[in-house]
Amino acid sequence: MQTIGFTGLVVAFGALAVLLLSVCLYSTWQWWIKAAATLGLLLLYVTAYLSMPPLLGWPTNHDLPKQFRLIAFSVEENEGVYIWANDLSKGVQIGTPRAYVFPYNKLLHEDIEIAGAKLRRGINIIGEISTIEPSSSPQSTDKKTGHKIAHTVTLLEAPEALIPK
Amino acid sequence: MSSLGPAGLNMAYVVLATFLLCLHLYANWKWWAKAGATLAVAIFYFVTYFSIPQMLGWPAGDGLPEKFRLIAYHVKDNKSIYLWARTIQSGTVQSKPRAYVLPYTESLRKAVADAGQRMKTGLTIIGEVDEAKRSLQPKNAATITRRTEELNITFQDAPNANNLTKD
Repeated sequence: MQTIGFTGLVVAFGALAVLLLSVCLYSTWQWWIKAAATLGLLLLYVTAYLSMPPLLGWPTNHDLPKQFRLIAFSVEENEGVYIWANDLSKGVQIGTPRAYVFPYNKLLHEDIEIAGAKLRRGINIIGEISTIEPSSSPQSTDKKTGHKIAHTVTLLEAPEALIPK
Repeated sequence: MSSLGPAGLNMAYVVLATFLLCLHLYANWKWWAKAGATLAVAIFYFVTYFSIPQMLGWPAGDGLPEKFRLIAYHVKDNKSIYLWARTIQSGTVQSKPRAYVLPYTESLRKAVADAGQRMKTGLTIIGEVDEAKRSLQPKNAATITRRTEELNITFQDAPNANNLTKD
């Protein structure tokens, strides 16, 4: 399902503020209860704000880019294939690298090792991600681990003109 | 300031649910107003659940561990330096790498570039962060300023990568 991002968070917290305003205006609670509710909501905002930073930096398997420039990778067998990449849909120069994780599968491991060898030689690598329909397609199951594979990742050498030095 | 993580979010959501419960039990609102409040809180949970994944994967501006195993680095426009690293804690390397963003300084760029060159030759690079002591600044240290503190980051070849156990 599509994810929403910061806009969603702003809307969600705004809705809470509207709820609090309704409580303060239309309920017959004592003043100190309303004050406590206001303080509670403020604490919720502060807590949510302080809770977000530790979520950052960890690899995600959401919002996978259709095309990316591979910066680095790391493989943990039977755990996952981690990729650090720039989303090319935002342009070659623009874009903060983002960390992604794919379920481990032998084929992806082999492909990315080959791409990694090219990276070390200074060859730029771009990747393309496509989603596999969750069906009985033979592509959708890793033969070795039996895990379902949701995406295929194709790694190619980037044309020289695409990625400036 | 310390950060809380998922536990903080869980706590915040529980407090909100408690607030909603109090509203139902003690407010003399009409039933449709209470239903509306319940729906608003449910929508809040739903929307935040689908908002948080978009935040994942992006580099953290804080939380660079005291000791880490460098996997890769990236310099962007002489404005920021990104590191991708695994935390080392008590001699154990965490299996999941994390991305960090640091303010650009020339010394840091040189230090990570040098570390990157050594990594290409197959060496394992360990980064260490400690408070900068000007009189004892190591030769290959880069200094960055984070909020009000100055930190030294040094990149060294791992003495024996086999001694680092995996998490």
